[in-house]
Amino acid sequence: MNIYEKNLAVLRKTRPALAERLGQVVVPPHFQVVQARNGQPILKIGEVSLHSPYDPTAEGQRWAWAQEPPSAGEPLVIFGLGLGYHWQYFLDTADSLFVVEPSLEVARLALEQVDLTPLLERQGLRVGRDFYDLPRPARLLVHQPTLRQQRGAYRRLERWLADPSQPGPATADAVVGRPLKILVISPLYGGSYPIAQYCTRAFKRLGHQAEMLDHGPFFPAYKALEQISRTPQHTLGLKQGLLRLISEAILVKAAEYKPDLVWALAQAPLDCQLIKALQDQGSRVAYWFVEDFRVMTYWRELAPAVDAFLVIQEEPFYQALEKAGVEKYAFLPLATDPEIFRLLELSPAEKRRFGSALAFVGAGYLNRRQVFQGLTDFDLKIWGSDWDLKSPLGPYIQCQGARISAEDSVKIFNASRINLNLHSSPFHQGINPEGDYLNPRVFDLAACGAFQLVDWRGQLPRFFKPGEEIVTFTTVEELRQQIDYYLAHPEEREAIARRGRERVRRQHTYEHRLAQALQLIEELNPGAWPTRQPPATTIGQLLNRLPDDSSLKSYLARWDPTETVSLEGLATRIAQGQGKLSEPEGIILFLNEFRQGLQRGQL
Amino acid sequence: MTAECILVMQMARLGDLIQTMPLLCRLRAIYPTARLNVLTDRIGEPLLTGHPAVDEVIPVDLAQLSQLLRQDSWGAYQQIAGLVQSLQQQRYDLVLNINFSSLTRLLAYLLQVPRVLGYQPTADGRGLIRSPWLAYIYALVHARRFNRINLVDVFRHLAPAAEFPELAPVLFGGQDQPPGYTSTLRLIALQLGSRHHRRRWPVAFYATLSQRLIQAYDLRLLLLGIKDECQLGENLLRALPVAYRERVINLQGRTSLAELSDWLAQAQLLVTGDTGTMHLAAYLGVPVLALFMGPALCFETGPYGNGHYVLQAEPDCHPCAEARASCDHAGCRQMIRPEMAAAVIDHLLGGEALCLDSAAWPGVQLYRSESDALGVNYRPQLARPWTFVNLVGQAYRRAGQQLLGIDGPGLPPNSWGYLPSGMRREMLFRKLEKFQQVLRKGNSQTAGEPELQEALVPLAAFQQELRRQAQLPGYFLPNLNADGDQYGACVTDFLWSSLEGWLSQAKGLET
Repeated sequence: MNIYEKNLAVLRKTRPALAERLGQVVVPPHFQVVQARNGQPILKIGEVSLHSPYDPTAEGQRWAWAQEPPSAGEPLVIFGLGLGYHWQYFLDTADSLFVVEPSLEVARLALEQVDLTPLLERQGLRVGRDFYDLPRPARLLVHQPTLRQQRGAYRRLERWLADPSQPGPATADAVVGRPLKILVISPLYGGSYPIAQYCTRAFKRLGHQAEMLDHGPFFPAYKALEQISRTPQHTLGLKQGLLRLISEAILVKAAEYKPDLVWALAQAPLDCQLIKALQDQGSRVAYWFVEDFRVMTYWRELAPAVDAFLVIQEEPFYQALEKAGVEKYAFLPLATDPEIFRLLELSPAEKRRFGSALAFVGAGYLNRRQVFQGLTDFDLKIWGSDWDLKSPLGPYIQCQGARISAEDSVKIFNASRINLNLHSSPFHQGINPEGDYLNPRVFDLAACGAFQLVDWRGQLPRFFKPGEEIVTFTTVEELRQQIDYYLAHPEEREAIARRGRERVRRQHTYEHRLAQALQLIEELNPGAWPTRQPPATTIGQLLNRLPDDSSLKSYLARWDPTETVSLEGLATRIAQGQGKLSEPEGIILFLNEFRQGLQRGQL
Repeated sequence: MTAECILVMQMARLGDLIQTMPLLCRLRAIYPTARLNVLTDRIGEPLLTGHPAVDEVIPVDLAQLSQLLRQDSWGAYQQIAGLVQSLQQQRYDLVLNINFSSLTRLLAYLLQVPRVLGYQPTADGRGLIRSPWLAYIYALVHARRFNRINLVDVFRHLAPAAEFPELAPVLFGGQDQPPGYTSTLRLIALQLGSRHHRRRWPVAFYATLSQRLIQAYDLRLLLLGIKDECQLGENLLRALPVAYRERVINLQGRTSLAELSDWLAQAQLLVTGDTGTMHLAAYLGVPVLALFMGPALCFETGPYGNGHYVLQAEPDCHPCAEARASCDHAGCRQMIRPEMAAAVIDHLLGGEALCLDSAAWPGVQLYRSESDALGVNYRPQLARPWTFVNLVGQAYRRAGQQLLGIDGPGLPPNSWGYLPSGMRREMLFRKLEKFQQVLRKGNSQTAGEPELQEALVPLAAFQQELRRQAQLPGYFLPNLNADGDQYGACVTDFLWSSLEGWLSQAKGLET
């Protein structure tokens, strides 16, 4: 019997439901067990190691030594399972020990690697949100690497343990179950502008009420201000004036629309003051920082102010955020909108116009200019802006370097045999060997069923199976070899593209991401959302519950008992009616007003 | 009007409840033998329990209701139905609803009492009717610069004028000496926080002022506030020299409402923004130096009673709306300098004469509260020339007083400033005359004169609100439909004649 089976056998006896769940976990490839220098196994998630890569035992010992031990009889809860190096010392000393691990994958790998039976026998392993039966109050110790991966889960646990008055999981665990009102704030221009539109659509498809505050129309004005003065300071002042006006407009919009959530995309015209004002008006503010934190440093100001700062990079960004005192951050990678980026039947004319053996759509960053100069012997078309028409790449640049609409991009993606995707980098010549995050193009191309060659990125394996769903390169030579090979093997190309498309449609659409985002925001701010309505009650059920002398009972008796009934629904019906309000009607309106007042934050 | 059983509904914040006290005293004076009950949020209960004007406090636990509503809306229904039933059993013959809120409006409707004053439900319970006085206040809020009526007086005049002298505001609470207090301590209280950050004086200024006070007087500073404001207190302490920190007693987040009252009552002075603590101090008879800026306007929510001081920052844009994101004049928080506050305190504590050279107080006015026939008004201490806004604002106040049928003088015009000279005088006269013309003839050729247009806004809003209400199924004011336009005409006349009186007086001065 190997370790895994031994663990599972004990778990089946002590917590069968958990055993069942862990047995079904498929661990994604970016969760890896590797060897530390001293030969012991350690766990890596992406590039982040949960234990010391030199001597995990010594590190675990030091950690345990440094913790304040629980007083006699006090239960001990440790956040973060890892591979057990840190908490094993408490098995003997703590009266009752619980280890809470937020990730199913980590728990599964630990089950495969470490003998957990002493913990499992005392029912001490809790996975995910299965901690609502833990004794309170308890001493809580934190495994820092797990904390950085799972800030939100930690906050939830911490809050639960700290406040014994907090009601049961039914309310504490309120996942978004009620349609939210969401105001999406677009930037004035740039790569995140279309993402704002995709987000708005995705929120709506998820059943929420979403509206986008479109700042695109302000961009011409913003540009026009550049023509006014030659003094940079003056221009800056004018632009700031416009941005102030836009802030004001956002606040007015929010005051009228009263969103539960303000969802801002990178580069959106938000500053700390405005964020504060929006929060004061009762909205949660989330910011999706779809930028490279090394290039764009404005996160330092915004991240501490918002209720959730969602990022597309992990370490060392997490450490930088922690250092800046930011607590409410979480990982939220990019995705695609499969209704925009889709398979398309093209006419022969369109195929001629948009098609080529090799295509690239995007702006002419320095590293792209360099790499693509090595591909000029192929049938190459370059689409997009910021290219130098007078450079050796000039003949390959389409439409005089005009910007390409999303609709045309879809046609190009569909028409080209190979689509290149080279992540931009202002720091590196050629291909960035340390690139981590994925750009939207990776997902958009895949969603179109287009075959892409993409430069290797650290995060890639957690989204796609390299070689099966996507093909990568790390040098120009390798790129040329791949081009030669895949131009010659159309069936392989199509098979890979098809698998890539299936993968994004299954896991990487904006709907998937934003559903997750709402959970993350709630985790980072427990109780973030106006409480969801209790499950629908039918009039019949309600009549049974009400005492006989209730005025509501006689009021409802004339209606169909199978109809479902909610306070909001009744209130709307009453408000639309005419004539004198009866007493039950008045009370229902009163309660509904009260409920709305609570949501607004003022009665 | 007779009444045997009266219910006052005040469900808003603590500050509002304190601002309701003079209304309760007035009601008690008018109806000395009636039963007077107050419906309020449970948080405010300690302020009213044992109050000599009040027979019974009926607390509603809004926090508990909101919790219940989340978990079980039908349970919440039963609870409210129970409340309504128990209120109905009291057989109130008069209800005063002083909250602009659908909640109290619906409750008032559900009680089915013969008379509701204040915000009244329509006959079908679906709409809201403001009494002409409330419609007038509602109209003034459309151009707040012109508003000169204190919220306490708004509430007070919801009860008919008393034939008997009103009970003097009852000093209530604060009778117990707080633990740790010895009577040899001389205390000045500071309330650093404020509900809206734009109303808040910078902590750095409080720190400078504190240092100055500790140097000059043998006293202790008392930091008041709720738990959320602790950071402000810590920032202030950090800014003080170490030796001075012992002279500060930090009570932020450590007092119940009763304890806060006890401490506050021992203070010789409270320095504060526009806060609930300020209203509590004024109510307890503790002198107040209030620092008003941003959206806060002392005429509306200044400390009630005689002899309080207010430093009001008065940039051209004041008072601003609370919901503005950014502000070009964010400087109004910096306009009141710590030296100014120190000078007022030296006057109050040390008996120093106030330097009232208005050039030394740029952009800031110092007001002192005093009573007139309508209630409390604020008299500027720094001599500045009359402005159009000033005069029209006072005219609106006067018209409000006449609307209520109250005789008696307001503050005389020379107490609000002096007649400017030269061009400024001409322009002022021209503008006032134009305003009068519009009032008289009803034509509105005011294009290009934003101040004039703004001055007409409340009048138009008043008429419009009365007309809107005339369409509603009336309930308690059956004659309102006929009277709507008359009220508008009356106010127009009142405004016109006030201005006429002052103008002729001013022109008399001129010649």
